[in-house]
Amino acid sequence: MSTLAVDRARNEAQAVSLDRIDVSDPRRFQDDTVWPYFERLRREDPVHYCRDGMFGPYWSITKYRDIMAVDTNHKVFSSEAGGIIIVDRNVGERFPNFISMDPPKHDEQRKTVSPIVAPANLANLEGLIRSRVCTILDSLPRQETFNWVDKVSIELTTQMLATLFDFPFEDRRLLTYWSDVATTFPQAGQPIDTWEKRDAILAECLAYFTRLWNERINKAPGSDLISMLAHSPATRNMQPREFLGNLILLIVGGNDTTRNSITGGLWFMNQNPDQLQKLRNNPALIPSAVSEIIRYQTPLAHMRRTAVQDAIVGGKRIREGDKVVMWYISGNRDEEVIENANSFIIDRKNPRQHLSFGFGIHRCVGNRLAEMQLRILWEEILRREMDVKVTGEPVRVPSNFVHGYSSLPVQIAA
Amino acid sequence: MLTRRKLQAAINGRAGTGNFIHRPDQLKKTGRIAVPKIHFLEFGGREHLIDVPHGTSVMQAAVDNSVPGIDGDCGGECACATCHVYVDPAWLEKTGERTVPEGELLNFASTAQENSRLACQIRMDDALDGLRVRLPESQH
Repeated sequence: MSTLAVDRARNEAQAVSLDRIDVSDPRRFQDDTVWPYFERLRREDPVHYCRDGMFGPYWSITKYRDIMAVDTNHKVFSSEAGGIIIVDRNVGERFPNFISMDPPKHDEQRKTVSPIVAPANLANLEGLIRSRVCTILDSLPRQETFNWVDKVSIELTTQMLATLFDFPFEDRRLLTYWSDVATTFPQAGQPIDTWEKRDAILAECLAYFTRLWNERINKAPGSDLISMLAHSPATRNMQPREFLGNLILLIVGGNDTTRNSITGGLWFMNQNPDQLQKLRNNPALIPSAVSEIIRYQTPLAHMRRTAVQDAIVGGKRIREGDKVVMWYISGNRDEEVIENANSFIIDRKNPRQHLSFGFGIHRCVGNRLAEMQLRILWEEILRREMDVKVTGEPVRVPSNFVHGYSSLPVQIAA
Repeated sequence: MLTRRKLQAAINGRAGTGNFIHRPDQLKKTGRIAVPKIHFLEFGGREHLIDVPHGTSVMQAAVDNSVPGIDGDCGGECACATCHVYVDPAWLEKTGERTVPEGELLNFASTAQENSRLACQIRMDDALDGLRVRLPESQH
């Protein structure tokens, strides 16, 4: 982002009247100018009501502790009543999945898939991840500019996802494609400009996975996600829309998030060479650096809830039926809880204290797998003494939900 | 939760392990133990004996003393389940029952057992002096 754009955004964020601030505008995430708006809300109106938002009226929760209070109060702030993203869709148009459910159904379905990221399975995956990281890093071009997002971030996370689903490896980029489509809110001027277009592509995803389901339901239970869903009493009778909903959840959860933390990490290290040097001098800091990358990136900018009864948050009365958006991306920069929150510091005191995984019963189920992938990647980059230089500005995606990148040009010295 | 019969069986099974530590030297005139102690057993078996001031949570005690194997990501809000411990069955009655949100979170921990608790929800007092907790393979 140019200095000019930063200054303009800062001036605008300060000049606009408080009740006109709408932090949900995806363009502000695309051009990375959303920060001064969140700063102002945290300072002047941390629980903020926006009447005329691009996605309808909603509350913004912008401070760490208020977000924690909402996230851990699932009885008042429902995931099922309106879904978990700021965009509203009618009940019949939604693809239900366990992240958009309340207990008890949420609990049963979550427990079906969680063994895949349990400690024993993670230990099994570590060697595989390391060998793939090595292959990817060793095959990168030298002395020529390439897109880190495509060659490293997407490749690594998509391979991982294909393994978790036992998905045909040669078709794995379909997973990337479906993930991108699923997180796209149709917008004029974008390749996907209507909900119909989006849903038609996702129907292809469902058809592909239905074939895999049918193969696996007739076999003995396996250790991949499709087999787990097909054989578990909690999920084997899912309707097609619900199957697709859960697939999208697992694809996006296992793909976009880690992908963008991989890219973000490289970008932050390039922007903060002193931190990279600190890491090179002391690789024991890698786990701490990984947490800091995940905080600083906040790969999912928000989660949405719907109040199912009146409640007070940060002194404001939220009414039954109101849309409540927890901006993790803002809470992770809350100076009241995180010291020097706007700085990237790989050896900060409490690096694991961040909101990126959410808190409460919907806390990210795959967080340890995500951390492991990032840890191994940085271990292998350091071990190779690989010098990856960013050669241009990252291109960010126009989304207020997936906080990520479509490209980051880099070059590796010979 | 544990039935009384199971609890008794668990206690009997552990009889003779010397769980109760008497340290009269630590008793002040008031009868209050100066600084109660907790035994943390790492997954690999290494033991840490830690002083824990009254009112401090078992999670905070572990974090403050760098006991490996307790993360406490949420800082003690009962919101993340990364301070999961197994309470020695002999101590279950004294540590009490899980709270409702604690039970909801432990419900998702693949390594949870009947004696699982979140360490942030156990606060130190004299009755818990000598408490023994075991750590799981990893926090999740």
